[in-house]
Amino acid sequence: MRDLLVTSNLYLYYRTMRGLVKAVDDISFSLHKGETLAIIGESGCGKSSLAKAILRLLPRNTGLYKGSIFLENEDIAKLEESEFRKKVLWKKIAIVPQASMNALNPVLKIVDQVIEPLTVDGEVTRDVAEKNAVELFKYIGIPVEFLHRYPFELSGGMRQRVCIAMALIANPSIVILDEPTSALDVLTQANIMNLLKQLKKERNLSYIFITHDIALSSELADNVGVMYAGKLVEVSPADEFFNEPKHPYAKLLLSSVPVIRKESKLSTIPGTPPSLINPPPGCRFHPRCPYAVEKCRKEEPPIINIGSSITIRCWLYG
Amino acid sequence: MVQAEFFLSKIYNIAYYKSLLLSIIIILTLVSISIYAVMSMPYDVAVKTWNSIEHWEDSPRLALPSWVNFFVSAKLPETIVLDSRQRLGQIEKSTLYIDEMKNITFRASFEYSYEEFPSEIVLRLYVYNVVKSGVIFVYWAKPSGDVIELTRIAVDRSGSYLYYISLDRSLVERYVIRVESKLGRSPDYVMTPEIALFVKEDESMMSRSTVKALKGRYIFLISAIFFEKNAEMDFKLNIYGKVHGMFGTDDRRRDIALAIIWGTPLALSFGLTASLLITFAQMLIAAVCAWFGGVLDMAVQRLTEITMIIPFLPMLIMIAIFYKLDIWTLLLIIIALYTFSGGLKWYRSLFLSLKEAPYIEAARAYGASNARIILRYMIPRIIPTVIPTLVSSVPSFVFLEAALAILGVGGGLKVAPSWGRVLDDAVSAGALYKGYYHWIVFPSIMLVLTSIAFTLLGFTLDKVLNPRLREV
Amino acid sequence: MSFITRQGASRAFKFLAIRTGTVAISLIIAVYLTIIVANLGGLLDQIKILEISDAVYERIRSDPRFAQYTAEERKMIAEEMIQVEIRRLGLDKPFIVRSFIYLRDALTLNLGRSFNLISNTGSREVRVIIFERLSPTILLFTSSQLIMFFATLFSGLYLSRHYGSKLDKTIVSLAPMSSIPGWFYGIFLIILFASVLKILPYGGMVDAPPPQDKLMYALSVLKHMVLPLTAVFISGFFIGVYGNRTYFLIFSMEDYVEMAKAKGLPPRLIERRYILRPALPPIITGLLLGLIGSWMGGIITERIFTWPGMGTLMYAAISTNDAPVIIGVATIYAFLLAVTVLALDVIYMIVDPRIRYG
Repeated sequence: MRDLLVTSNLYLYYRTMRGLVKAVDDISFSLHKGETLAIIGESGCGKSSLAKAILRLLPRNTGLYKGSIFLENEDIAKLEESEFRKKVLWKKIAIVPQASMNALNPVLKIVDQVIEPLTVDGEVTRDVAEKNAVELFKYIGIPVEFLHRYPFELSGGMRQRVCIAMALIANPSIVILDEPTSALDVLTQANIMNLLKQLKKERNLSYIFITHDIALSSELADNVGVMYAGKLVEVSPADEFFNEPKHPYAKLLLSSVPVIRKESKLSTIPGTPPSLINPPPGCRFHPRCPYAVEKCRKEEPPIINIGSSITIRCWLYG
Repeated sequence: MVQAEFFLSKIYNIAYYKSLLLSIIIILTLVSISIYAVMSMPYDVAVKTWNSIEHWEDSPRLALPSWVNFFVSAKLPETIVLDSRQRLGQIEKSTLYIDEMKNITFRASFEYSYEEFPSEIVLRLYVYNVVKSGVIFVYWAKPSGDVIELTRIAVDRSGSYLYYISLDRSLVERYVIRVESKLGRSPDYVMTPEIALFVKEDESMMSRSTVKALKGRYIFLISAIFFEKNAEMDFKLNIYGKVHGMFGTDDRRRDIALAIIWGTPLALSFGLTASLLITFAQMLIAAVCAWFGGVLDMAVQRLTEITMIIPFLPMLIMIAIFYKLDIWTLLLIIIALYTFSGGLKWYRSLFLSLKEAPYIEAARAYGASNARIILRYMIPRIIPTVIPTLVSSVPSFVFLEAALAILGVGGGLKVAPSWGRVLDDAVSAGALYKGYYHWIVFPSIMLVLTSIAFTLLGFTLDKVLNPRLREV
Repeated sequence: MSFITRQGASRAFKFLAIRTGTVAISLIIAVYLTIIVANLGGLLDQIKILEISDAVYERIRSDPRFAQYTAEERKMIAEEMIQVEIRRLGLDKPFIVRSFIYLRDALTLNLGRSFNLISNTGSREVRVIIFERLSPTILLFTSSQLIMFFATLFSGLYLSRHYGSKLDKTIVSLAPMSSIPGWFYGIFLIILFASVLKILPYGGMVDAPPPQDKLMYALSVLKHMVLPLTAVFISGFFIGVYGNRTYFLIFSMEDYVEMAKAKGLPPRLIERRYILRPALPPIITGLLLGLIGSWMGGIITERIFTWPGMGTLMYAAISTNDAPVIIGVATIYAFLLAVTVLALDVIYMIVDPRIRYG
């Protein structure tokens, strides 16, 4: 399996009035060609910041941004801004935003927004780009006349499909999906998920699927990464993960998922999610971990390899 | 407890801003001036005084403030008044009876210690019980001992006689001849009576740049000859200075300080009344419209659109001129027009978004009346958003009053002493071209201070009450 | 432009038609209100009757047929003719009817004759007098608003890009300068540049006597425009920049702006299409309110600078109590405001597609 994207010691901190928010704190993972890496975690654990870190969408109050991002063996983190923008953004890596996001420009027609990435640097003429858009819409199942409408004329589900089409227009190899269905009703959600599966197969895409919905992630995931307090605490293949998660946090997460019509007590994780400004010392999860020992309070566990495909940050395994 | 903590932290926040401190200081000063004004002189007295002519008889025209003398080497004179009726100044009176003649002589003297010349000199003579002809001689003696006969005035009746020494051209001519014979040549500038009567008579007087006044004791002599036993006479000599009061005077001799001081409560009450009434009217109407919707809402919306097209200022001018309204009646019309202007739409949109709030629904559910919901729930929520606008708009109304004054509107029958009026008088009298800057500067300073104070206050309140952009 | 399609065009047309209609109605009502207010004291009636008697007496004087009558008889005939005129024009009807007659007159710009003021061509027709003054006002006004609009737009954009910088903080702290109206700054500009430094004129539009050469004339006008334009600019600039910059900052925090960045679009394009374009509607609304305010403020600015526009005309009419001119100027201003509102509605329509589909 070829490594398509490898992040290595990626950091992204924000400066706020209350302090430095360590949203992405030394994250390393590999994305293999043609597979889906699901990143799961609670709200506020830094998942969306990870997407921003990969795409270099840094806000004004960025405190620290460093690390390496190897795309096909080239460290794109070292590229100049304009090169990064022209070569990587959208053409190699695209993003489908959260469904609730106000992702489409309200005063531009949909066709203009969809073909923009192609025409803006003068590489493709408008006619060719429009033809591409039409084909893409047909492929995805969006009525072609919507191209000439404005976003406010479309329903939420349709808008999300448009975002998916928009993400594919430049033929990227990697698509980051940031909670793409979290604001949609269950039926629409199912439709979109099916569409995503189909697209992945037919176009050989690689996904980074960011979600807080563990059950949803199991539909697409080939590999699963669990984020907690800005750190990746476990990365392992999906089958193994959903069968037997290793990290205590992952274990608790999975047991909190309700099964339809099964009578069992829902377990929750005691305590509150940690602050990203002042995370707990040592292992970040130790205040809420049922297996915590003295070492966990003092030292932060490094990345420990279990077998060839699982990495974990937990003193239980090292 | 939580409320108190929250409140206290807000107060701390407020105290943090220096600009707020500055604006509060200015506003307190303005308020104290207003209180002083109202307590020392009631409004109608102030208006009457401002519009009277007699009251300012003893003030100089277009004088600069007295404190200017701190900054110049050649001191400008204050006004000197010699009045035999009120025994102002050192006056000796002697009466002599010779046959049927009655000779009344006033000998007045005063100390002149300035290097600059007076602006004007006017003599008023008050003659009583005279039917037959008489004559009054007026003499002037300088400290140097030179005596000048000013004039002879024939009197044939009782009453007052006005002698504008400043306009006496024959006096000037006679004097120039005198100077020529004494010093051999005449000055290179146009001689005036004020200079003539006070000048130091030597080489320095030949050039405008070196001429200076003679300091010392001056003697003013009036000798009248009457033919009636009961004839009596009084006089008042006004030697008008070039400085007066704290802010100087205007071209009608009025002490600008009156308008500066009384203009303060006028400006503040005008601005605050307009701002408060308009804000509350708009809030109420907008809340009612947003809440009830329907025909009322549509009607008010249309009304607002129409009001946008009504040319506010020309309309105001029209009404003020045709119906001869004064500024306070005009204020009511201003309030009426402004209430239905653009601001209403803004309030309405605020209330519309508020209408859907859950606690409003809850209030409806427990059966609260419409009035209660509007007055107790909706309006109080908006107040923090509204207060900064309210405060910030006070200066625009203060300037509106000034603008109306400059256009000559809102004077009604008796003009009130406001800052705008002073500006209008100044601009109309060409103060800009003629360099009477003090006339413009002082009311302007008041306007600018008021504006800065309220605007700063509004801005800071906005930052505190409505934080929008998170400061990084 | 989207309304080049047939569907778009018809929608645009419909929107425009509705707006024109609405504005026209508002205008009619506004003018009507002006008339009612003007005539509550019977002033318009007086003016009208004065006009009629003037015309009648003029006719009698110039017509040789009346020479044979005595002064007494001529007066009686005149009175009768006046009454006939009054009845013919419907001026003996009740107040409401009269007001509609005046309304019709005002809307067709039949504004009567002045009491005292005369136009440069010697005419006493109010319409002629006003139109003479219209172009200087529009010249000064339009240039000041255009300069202000573009200056505040681009400065606001620049500042929003450099949020938090020293320049940003400085300009924001200067915003209170806008609480002082332009005419006030004008007074001090005149004192400084005309009275003390003597490098710019005190007022007026052109040197006296005006230069014959067209180029010199234009330059002279420009020279006279410097101070009024500066005054208006100083007053409006800082708050304008502050408002725009705040708008742009708020709009640059929108989700679709981040998406645009993710799409790899160049920053200039993002600024133009994703921040500026969507932000235009509220900016234009603010522009409208500002425009209305400056039409009104312009009256005083013109007075201070003795700029020969409608503002000084109004001032002259006030000073000489020339009621017909006052009413005429008020009416024309209503027209100007209506045109402004409509023009902005058109711009609004071009810029914001949501309005058309509203």
